[in-house]
Amino acid sequence: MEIKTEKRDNAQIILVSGMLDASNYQKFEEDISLLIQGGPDKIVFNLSNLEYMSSAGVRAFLKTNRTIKSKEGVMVFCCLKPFIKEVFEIAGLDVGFKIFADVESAVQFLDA
Amino acid sequence: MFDLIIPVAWELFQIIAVITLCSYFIIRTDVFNRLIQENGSIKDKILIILFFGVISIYGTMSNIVLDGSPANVRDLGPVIAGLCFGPWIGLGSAIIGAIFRYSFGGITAVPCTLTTLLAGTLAGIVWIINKKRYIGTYYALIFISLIELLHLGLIFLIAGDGPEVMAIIDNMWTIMLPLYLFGIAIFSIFYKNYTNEKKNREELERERVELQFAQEIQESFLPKTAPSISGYDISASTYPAREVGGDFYDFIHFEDGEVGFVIADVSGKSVPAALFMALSCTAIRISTGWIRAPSSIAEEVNTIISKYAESGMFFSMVYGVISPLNGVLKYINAGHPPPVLFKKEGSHDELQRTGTIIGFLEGQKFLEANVSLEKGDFIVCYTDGVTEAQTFKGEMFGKDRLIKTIDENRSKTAQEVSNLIITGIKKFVGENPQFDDITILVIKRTE
Repeated sequence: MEIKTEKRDNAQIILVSGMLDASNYQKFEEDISLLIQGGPDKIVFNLSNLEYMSSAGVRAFLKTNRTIKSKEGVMVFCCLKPFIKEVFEIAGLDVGFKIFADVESAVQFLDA
Repeated sequence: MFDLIIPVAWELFQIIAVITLCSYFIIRTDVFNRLIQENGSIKDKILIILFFGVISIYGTMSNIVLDGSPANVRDLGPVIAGLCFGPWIGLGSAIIGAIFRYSFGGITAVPCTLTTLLAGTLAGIVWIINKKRYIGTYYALIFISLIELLHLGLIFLIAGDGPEVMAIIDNMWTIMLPLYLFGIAIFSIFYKNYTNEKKNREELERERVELQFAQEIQESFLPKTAPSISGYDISASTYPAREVGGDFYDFIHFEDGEVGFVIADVSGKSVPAALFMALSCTAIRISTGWIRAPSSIAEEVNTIISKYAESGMFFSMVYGVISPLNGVLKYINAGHPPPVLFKKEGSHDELQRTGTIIGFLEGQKFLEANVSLEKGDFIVCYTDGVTEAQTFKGEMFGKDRLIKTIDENRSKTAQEVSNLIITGIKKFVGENPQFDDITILVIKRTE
């Protein structure tokens, strides 16, 4: 699991790569909470390079969402691979989160 | 020249060997340990005073005579004793060494004796100033150097600066100080290694106890046996991963004969996951006390859990209620891997999501679905530990293999089906360790 971040307009784009599972979700939560500390509160999770995610990963995103919401921010997702899309659908994350096909539409949504 | 150097080198080697061995040995004794933790008995204190006293005597006796003047490491024992255990033990061992030294006499008898006594006491005072802990390699080296400087000063002051005294002082720089520094350094290194080892051991032990605690909580909340309902064959098995997760299942017997069941996956590990599992399990059980409809149970539990979601507690679950007589199963699926219904005639269906993960969306409404179990039909519920069991290469067991395994064993009993799935997973992953809890519920209508 690797995280890269980039600012575009008012949004912070967080690129998550590799595997997100029980072995590293705690580190993921820590890294993300550092990234969003005091930073911009409009976040796009770009999952184009996320190969695998288990229920621990789902939990990590839900927890991050709590933190962002408590700061009145918003987080959206983009570029889900088929496997990740399936995990999102099983858990019902597609109901509570906005998911976009590409970074541009995600940023556009946050800018509107 | 060699005639002189070889015996001296040999004696030096002996002293170094003795210091090294003694340091290694004493640090590993129970007496040393109890005293370091400040719960040594009087007997322990006497033993350690004797030990370092004897080391001090050895320091005097191992006199290396160079150019006719003696050099020794008498103060090493009392200094280490003082730095480790305080002024009383420092002084105690110093007294033993000092008396022995004084009995030898000679022009430096008084300053040498005095230095040893001061060395043990001052080291003990340093221990007190450093909050009753060993001061570490660096400061211990400085301390021993200062003590030997004091030694030097006292010799000058008391014994004067005659040629005999000057020869002794010469030896102090060339042999004694390096030996002292070596002695302190080797002791400090052993001591540090030892404390690190101990810390690691304690850490491991703490983790082990936590894990056991988590396991006990988890086990105490799981039903000991699957319910026996006439006309049905039910099995429930869970295989916790080494780092216990929060899978759980439960069965609820209603007075009118209906049976509720739940399979759930609380994400997280160890104690937090176990505690959250206990909370979730309790929330479900209590809700079933006055609510029957699975969708209302899910909504109630979701409201309860959402209150705690600040701490990142979420879980997926399938909750269903079976009417054993007509085989109707009403259920909700809150973001859980869909259970699979195997029909007698050979087809299979999935019990898809009817709501999202519990704790995610406050106030969410759950849909309720129902299916009918005919004679010979069965349902397999599982957690993602089953489908996501991985080989070394990262290949996953997956839903297709799961369904195939079950399809090939339709005629088996519920427990056999469950066991065969586990066997299949084990065969598939090989030596790769299990990362996530695996839980399987099989409900089969036999009549």
